[in-house]
Amino acid sequence: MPVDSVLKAKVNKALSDPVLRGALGKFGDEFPISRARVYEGIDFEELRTAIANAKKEVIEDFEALADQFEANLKKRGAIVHRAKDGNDVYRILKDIAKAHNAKVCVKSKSMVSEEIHLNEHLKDTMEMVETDLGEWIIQQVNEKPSHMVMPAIHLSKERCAEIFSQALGRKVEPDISQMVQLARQTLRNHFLNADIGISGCNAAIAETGTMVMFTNEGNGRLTATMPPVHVFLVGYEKLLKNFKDLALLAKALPRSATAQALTSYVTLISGPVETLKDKVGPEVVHKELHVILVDNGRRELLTDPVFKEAGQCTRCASCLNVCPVYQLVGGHVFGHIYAGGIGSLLTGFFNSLKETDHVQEMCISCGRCAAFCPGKIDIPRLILEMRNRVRKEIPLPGMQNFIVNTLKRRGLFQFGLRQASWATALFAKEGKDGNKYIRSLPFGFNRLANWRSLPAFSSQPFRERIKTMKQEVVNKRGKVAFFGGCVIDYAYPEIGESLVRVLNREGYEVVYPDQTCCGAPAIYMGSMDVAREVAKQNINEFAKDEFDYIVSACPTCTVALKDQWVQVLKGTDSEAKAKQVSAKTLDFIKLVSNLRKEKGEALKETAATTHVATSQQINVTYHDSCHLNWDLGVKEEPREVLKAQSHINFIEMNESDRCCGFGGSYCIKLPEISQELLKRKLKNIEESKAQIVAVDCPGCLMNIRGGLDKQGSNVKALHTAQLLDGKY
Amino acid sequence: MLTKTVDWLPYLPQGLDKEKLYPKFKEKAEAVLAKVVRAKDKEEAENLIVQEMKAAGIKNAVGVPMDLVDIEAIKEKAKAAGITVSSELNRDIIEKAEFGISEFDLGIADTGTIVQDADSIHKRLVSMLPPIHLAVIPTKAIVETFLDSLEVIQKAYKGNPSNYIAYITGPSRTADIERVLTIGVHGPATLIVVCVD
Repeated sequence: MPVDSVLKAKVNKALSDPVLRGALGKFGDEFPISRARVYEGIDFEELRTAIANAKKEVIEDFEALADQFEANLKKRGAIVHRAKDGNDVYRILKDIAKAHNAKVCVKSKSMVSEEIHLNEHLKDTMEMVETDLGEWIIQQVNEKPSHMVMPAIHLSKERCAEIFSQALGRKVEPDISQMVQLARQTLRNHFLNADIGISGCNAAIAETGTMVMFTNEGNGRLTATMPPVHVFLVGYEKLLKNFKDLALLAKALPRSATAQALTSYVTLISGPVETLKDKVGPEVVHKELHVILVDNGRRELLTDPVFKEAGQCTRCASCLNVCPVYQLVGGHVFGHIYAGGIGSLLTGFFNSLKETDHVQEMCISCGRCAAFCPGKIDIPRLILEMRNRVRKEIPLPGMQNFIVNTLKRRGLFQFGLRQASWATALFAKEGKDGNKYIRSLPFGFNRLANWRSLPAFSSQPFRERIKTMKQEVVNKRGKVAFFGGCVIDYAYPEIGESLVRVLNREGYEVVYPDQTCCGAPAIYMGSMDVAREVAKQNINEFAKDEFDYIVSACPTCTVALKDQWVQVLKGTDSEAKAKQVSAKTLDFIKLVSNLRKEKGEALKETAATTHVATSQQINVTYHDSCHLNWDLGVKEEPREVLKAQSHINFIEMNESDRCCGFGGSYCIKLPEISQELLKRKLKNIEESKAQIVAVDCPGCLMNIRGGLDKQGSNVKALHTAQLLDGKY
Repeated sequence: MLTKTVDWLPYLPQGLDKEKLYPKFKEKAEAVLAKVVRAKDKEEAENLIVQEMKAAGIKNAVGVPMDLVDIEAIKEKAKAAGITVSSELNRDIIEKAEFGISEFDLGIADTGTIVQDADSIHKRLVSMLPPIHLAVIPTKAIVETFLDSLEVIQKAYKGNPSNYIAYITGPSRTADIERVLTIGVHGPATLIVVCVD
């Protein structure tokens, strides 16, 4: 079952854990700032494009590169193994341990070893000692890392002190530098006595047979130096062609991972290095170097037509660091072994679809992570693909499945939305801003409305209203097809009316072709098949030459028309039409901005042509809707247009581009998370001292407006179309 | 005769301006909490090294044979200050030492990094085990970027790099507990770089 009581319990536990919330919250707030600082003077787009291209070339050729890597290492005297899964790795390591009669094994950081639960499987063969501080701490209490780079980020120093006290059998105070010193002393003995060292690998260079480790503590160096035997665990996706590729990685990985220009240590090992005979010397001998190339789902990932893109991952974990959901619940909820967005993809291949089900459901599809990924992976899109794949194996439960399938039965779907107007009218009350709200719902439905009010559905949808609207187009320039989307059509038809008037003034007649849902809800719930059906139902009405533009005032619908219809209709006889629609589709605010710029008028001058219902200056702030900002790349346009209105005093709020928590069906699926995200958004809105918060997405509008109503705020939430129409 | 197996100096990029690169190297290295000093010649470098040992208040140091400075001369000078310097390859002496001295092959101005062919176990132990590590590098071997350093290595080893190449940027550090930066975990808590002209 997708979102079940087990997941809900984990979410609630995480949300009520002050230590977790404090640690993750602080880190999530600080990371983007320090990251931006360390990238100063570097063209991130250029760098990540170069990395993505280098990785793409590797992915296309990874088998040959693996052979080259192996051959080079063998020439130097290393012993290279291939492991198809965890069982192979255990067997290889047990054989090595037996040959050397090994008692103690020191490990520096290796996510591969976590993924295959290596310590559990080898603990009867030899003592397995994690030496990375965070890994050592969680090893003492049998926990899994909650972050790929900072495994113990979920623990407070007080909790760490308890763990130290128990492990060392004496009282340890929660003093961080003292604990670090104790770890140094304790683990130093292990380093001196260890028989085998095991390391993970950040990059494997085929041309030279070099393994590269980026580390900070120095445990990687000691693991590679002290024991007489060294074993590297290398995933196939770590392959790079040459030193040039390594230079690209070195520029991005430390910056994106820990906001460092370079980690304290970068270690390049290309063969069996010198060591002391029998650990103490003085005779110098060469080490025994083993390299285990681990598959465990990687070959399948790297040859998958869709998911091979995830092979571009550098394991920097910046997608976690900027994820608003990860920041709330951490990697033990949003993750299996690998956490966050990328984790949900890797888990699907390295572990199983079943194990990634809970993980991928946590993604709210805000798209923020994609903007930060140094491997240029479209993580949010791949998560939707993963969701689609998971849902084929593990279907949605009855009710959600019914909703998704209703989308493709357009008659029933429209009927249902119309009935909602009288049903919701029963519960509607008027809010401060004059809008009708539902503040509570009976029975089990109150979880939907008890944290933010819901809108009452309109008695007359936009599709009826436009029939009677008089369009006065002065100096006609053309014709625009309007894709309304369900929220505007049935809940906020007045936004549609404002859009018509604003575009009329720009010289465009607005047509409302026959239409149904854009299909986005189906895509976000993992039903590409339903999305395809729905796109087909719409496409003919929109793929017409008479339209100069196709516009939507809902960025989620815009993304559907612009990108997703092309994806879902690929290979069908509607593909050409989808491309035609995509080329003409723009979000409302982008269209207004373009039209005004086209006219060659300064935005400031056109402001006077807008009908304004107030003569006073009004303080307006702006919330960036995720799909408009992260997916469509529209960020400056709404600000330019709003600032050009002579009566608007524009105020930037803090974290304007942080998700409001709506997320479509997400706020029904995981209201606990949505509520927390909304809380933070409302706080930022209130602190901006604005009278109006402008948004470009009716979903965000519904969420933010409902939240403002619930807390009795005087701030109004309006769609920019309404502001430009002078309807305050 | 050089102590190292491969000399990197002939493979440095043309036209390096050490008067421009040294200040940048120093700035970047000190930004990550390393200490950088410059010596005009061998003797000044040896004196600086002894001075650093005295300032650290240590009694036992270890070092490896080097080209830029003379380990025997350092031993003599340190002896006068009551400090013992051993250049013996003995794990337990090195492990108990408070100060390690080794020579690095190259510096990177962009990140304040030092780079070394570290296949020699002796070099690695003195730079890893003691809590203070002092590295000498030739000032003229400071290159601009990480990529530049890789190109030097590629040329010097004709595409067949040494089995262990070490890049060090500042002291050993962690932020694993509550994201609080803490210096000196498994590696040295102090890194001093002496650039020798």
